[in-house]
Amino acid sequence: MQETTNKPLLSVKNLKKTFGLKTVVNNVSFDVYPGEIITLVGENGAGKSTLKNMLCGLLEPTEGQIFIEGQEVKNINGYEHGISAVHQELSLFGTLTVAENICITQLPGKPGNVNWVEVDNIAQKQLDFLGIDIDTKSLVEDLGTGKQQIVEIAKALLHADKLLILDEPTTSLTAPEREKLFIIMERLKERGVAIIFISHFMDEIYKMGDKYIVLRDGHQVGSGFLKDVPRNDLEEMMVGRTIGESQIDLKPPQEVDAIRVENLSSYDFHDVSFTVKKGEILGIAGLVGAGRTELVEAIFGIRKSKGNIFINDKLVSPVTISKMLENNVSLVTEDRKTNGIFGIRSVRENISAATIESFVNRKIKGFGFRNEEEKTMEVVKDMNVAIPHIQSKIKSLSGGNQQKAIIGRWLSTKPQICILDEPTKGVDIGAKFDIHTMIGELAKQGVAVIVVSSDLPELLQISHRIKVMRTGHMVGEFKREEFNSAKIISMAASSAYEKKE
Amino acid sequence: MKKMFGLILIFAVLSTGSVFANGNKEAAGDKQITIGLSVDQLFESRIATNNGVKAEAAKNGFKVIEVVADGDAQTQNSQIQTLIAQKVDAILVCAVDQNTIETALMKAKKAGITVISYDRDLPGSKSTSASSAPDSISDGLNCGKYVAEAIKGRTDKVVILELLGALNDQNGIDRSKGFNDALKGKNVEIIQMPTDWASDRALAATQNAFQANPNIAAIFAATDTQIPSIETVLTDMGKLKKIGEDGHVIVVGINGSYDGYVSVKNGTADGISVMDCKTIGETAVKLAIKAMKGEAVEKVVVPGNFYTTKNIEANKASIWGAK
Amino acid sequence: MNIIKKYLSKKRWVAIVFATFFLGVILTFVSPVFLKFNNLQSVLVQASVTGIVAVGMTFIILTGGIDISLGAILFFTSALFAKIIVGTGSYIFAFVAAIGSACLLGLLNGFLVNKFKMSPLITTLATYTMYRGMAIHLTSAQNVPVPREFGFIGNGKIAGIPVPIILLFIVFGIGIYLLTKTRFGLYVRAIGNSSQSAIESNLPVKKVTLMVYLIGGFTSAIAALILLARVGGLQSGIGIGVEFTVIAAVVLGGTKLSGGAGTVVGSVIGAIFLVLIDNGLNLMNASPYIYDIVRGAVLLTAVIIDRVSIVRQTKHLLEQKAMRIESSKNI
Repeated sequence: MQETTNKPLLSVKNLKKTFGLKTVVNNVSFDVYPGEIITLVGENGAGKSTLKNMLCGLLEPTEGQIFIEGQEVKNINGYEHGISAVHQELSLFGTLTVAENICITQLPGKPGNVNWVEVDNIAQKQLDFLGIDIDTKSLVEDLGTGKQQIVEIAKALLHADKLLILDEPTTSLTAPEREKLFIIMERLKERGVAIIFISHFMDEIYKMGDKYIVLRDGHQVGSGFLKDVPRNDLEEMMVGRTIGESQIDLKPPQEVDAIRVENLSSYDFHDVSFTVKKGEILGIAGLVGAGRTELVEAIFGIRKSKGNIFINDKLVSPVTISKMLENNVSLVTEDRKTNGIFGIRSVRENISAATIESFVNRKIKGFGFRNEEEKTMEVVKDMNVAIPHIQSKIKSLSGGNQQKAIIGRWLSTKPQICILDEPTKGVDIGAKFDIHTMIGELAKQGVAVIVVSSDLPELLQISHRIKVMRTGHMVGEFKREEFNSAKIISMAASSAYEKKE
Repeated sequence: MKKMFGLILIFAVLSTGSVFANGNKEAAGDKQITIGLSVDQLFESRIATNNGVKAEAAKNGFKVIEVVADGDAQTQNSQIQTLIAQKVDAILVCAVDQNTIETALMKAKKAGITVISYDRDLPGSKSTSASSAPDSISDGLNCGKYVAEAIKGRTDKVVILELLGALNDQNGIDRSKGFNDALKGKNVEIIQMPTDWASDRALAATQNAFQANPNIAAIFAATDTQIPSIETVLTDMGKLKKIGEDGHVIVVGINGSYDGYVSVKNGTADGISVMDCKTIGETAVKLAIKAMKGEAVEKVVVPGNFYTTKNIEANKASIWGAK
Repeated sequence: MNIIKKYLSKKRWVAIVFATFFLGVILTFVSPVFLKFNNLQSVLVQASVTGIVAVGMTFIILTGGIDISLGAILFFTSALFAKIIVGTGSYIFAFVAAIGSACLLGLLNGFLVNKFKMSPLITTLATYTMYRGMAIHLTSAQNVPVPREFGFIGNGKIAGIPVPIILLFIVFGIGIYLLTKTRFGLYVRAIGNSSQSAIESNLPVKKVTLMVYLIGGFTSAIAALILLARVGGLQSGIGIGVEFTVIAAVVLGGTKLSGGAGTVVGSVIGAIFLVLIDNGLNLMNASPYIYDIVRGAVLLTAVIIDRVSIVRQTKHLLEQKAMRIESSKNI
């Protein structure tokens, strides 16, 4: 902010990028001054990555101009022009050493005879500059993600020390690692390096950023100083509609048990018992690895387990997927990329996959499907899935839309018991909102819903009850009126885990 | 880059073109008899046999359609199907793998096509009328007898290295059998090494064999194309001596290639049993003619001739490899 | 024990050194001839062909590629050389043409892999067939004997050392230098590690890919000359299966088939190891029928070693990840 009187380091004027007929970034203009941190926000698929790639030269803009220190630059070459990006997927080489990684694009000595001593020195200097102590000779694959990210930053800064683009750098970091990164960002800022910081986390955005740029559907819908914009307004700009605090209007559940789990045990969890009533939303909280996913998969019959499961007071035995489907149970799995979607198949096929039997043409058996397209279109509309076409490959959609489509697939089976494992993981605010609304709707219709989530605020918002799991055991239960995030957290992460790191 | 790619492309097109040209050279004349020649793989001795087939076929005014399977049994299978579809009158086949092509050959038989195996017998096959193959046992015997004769005066146990062909090839098995039969009861120790007909493996095997048994007195190569490799090792060891010189290692082989011919001529090798490729090929066609006429035919084996340094030059004309 | 395990997973080529040493000890007991100077020298001579091609193949596999056609290039080069030497008698012309064409054929492999983004396995399987076909066409499947004096490359000696061994060590030395001392070497290791990262880091991925396939072709040519000289002439069986022996040597030597990690040293020792197996069987006068069984078992072991180390690494990564998640106190 203090540098606003200087010449801008980078000026972007009316930048536009189209892929085929689709315009991904449209008419974006902004200035970046040395030593400031600009946060670039927007939902998944808003065009942030495309913008980033244009700035560091991986993509060529369709229209518009980029000025660096007042000079227009046509073919941008990140390293040449002092711009570098740390991508979400790190561009490091696991089996090379830290020093080799940092210096790989600019090796000292002759190409035919590299000066390896100097390589070490340069790397050491870079790491010293960042104030981080990492052995330059250790292999990158032996470092944690946090340190790898710092190596990546060191590598990026070696060639481009004017503007650094950080693409969601904190998503895979632990809390201490995150703090370290923020310290480094502060340090760089002091030295006049400009940073474009892409993030989903509002706390971080307000903590670190000076200015903001909001992208929505490729358009720049807002920009300015962060201190001038309240958090809610920023979120609304991103999503394009008003986000209420409590979207879900919870109705008390019916007094009928939909599912009762008794003494369920397996290798990953032990002696788990609970009931869910019709129209009730049960949240299951806990750390990753507490056995929650294993539990719901066991309930759905994917994993073997001991114990009894009653649905509508009738014992289900043996617990198999087909039995569960018969009983109108559905499970939306956590890892949609490997377990949920058929990536290269169309949205239509993905949505109808669980109900395809009902579309089979009865008159001429096995020949074609009736009403499939109409029905799937309805699902798309109900779930508010944004798709170019019903026949588009599902992997071309953003994460949020994929997730909505998958949830739509299972909802079209008209479940009585609906289990959702991390339903909003990796989806943007808008999609999250839609999914929450949909969960609320289900409960209203009398469906018993079980939601496993690592996002505690989410559970607090949507659940009637929260059960806490720790190392395979159910360790506590909170009714809605007792909800207390601090208590839940400490229960989930008890002493047994505090020893490590 | 592009130019090179283009050149190779042209090369490829030209080579396929010439294959087609061979196949369609003569327009389908009426009543002309066509023989399908299904070859397992092309190498020198096979080509010599094929030339015998073609010469005999030309003499009779037959047309020959030649297909080569490049050592792939499945390819040969489909090639035979194609020959059937082309309505050839007879198929001469040298099998890559008997089992894989047996059904195709049965199909040919049912279609009224005469099937003759050549150069390699198909033992127990129900589809073939007859075969024309080298007499591998007698070839092996020739070599064994020579070695037995050469070591007659020795009282100590004589160590002999035998370089085997492919372990699953009838010709290889028979050559070994013949050789060993000739030396049965003699005071010898025969060390067998597998080579799969490959010279590089023969080379390594010979090298290792000499390390383990420095006193090897004779070497029998299932194919004389391995003789240069043997000589390489003998040179390495300083043992390459001509016949009659002190410390000469006896070298014999079967085939009749140029390599074998030269070595025997020079006296670094003692003798080779030369396959009569031409006769084998001609016989195959003659058998086919007979069978097509409905006459009874049976398996024919063509014995080879054993030539030593003394008489090899005089018989040069009958050695298929000596050009 | 754990330290050893950890060390082995880092220095993967050490395993083959131990294995070779171990095999050597066994053979010393089994056969009195084994440790003799002559036998060891003969082992090295035999390993020269596989070893030299293995150096080239190491570069290719390190980038995450593979070249099935190297045996065919070897065959083609031998054929071309033999043809030219018999036709013109000019050694210089024959050398230049043979080595040049091998490099070009390797380059073509690299070009196809680059240009059409095809799987290297399928691409080189296709060129394998093509190159062999070209060689057969060139020679009409005839054997072509080469002049006796050319045998010098195969069994001559310089300063008492057999020429194939000298060539093996020269190629070996160049390979080590290229891989460890040069920028190119670092790029090779980097690309096999992650081609995505390599592109983002602006590395000349395509050039390096071309180069490694060219090196593969070049080493095949050197090996071809040795083999041709030792066998004494061109025969249609030359080079069949060489690529598989070579890949086995490279994998035994600790190079990951997926690329990124591996050494030239390991590959050459892997080649020597494979020769020792045959050498041992020969020295023991073993039955001809068990050769393939032993060879197959060893290859299987090699693949399992490769597999196990991948499993171990994945496990290591997962453990790390789990620890991090546990330690992050934010649910």
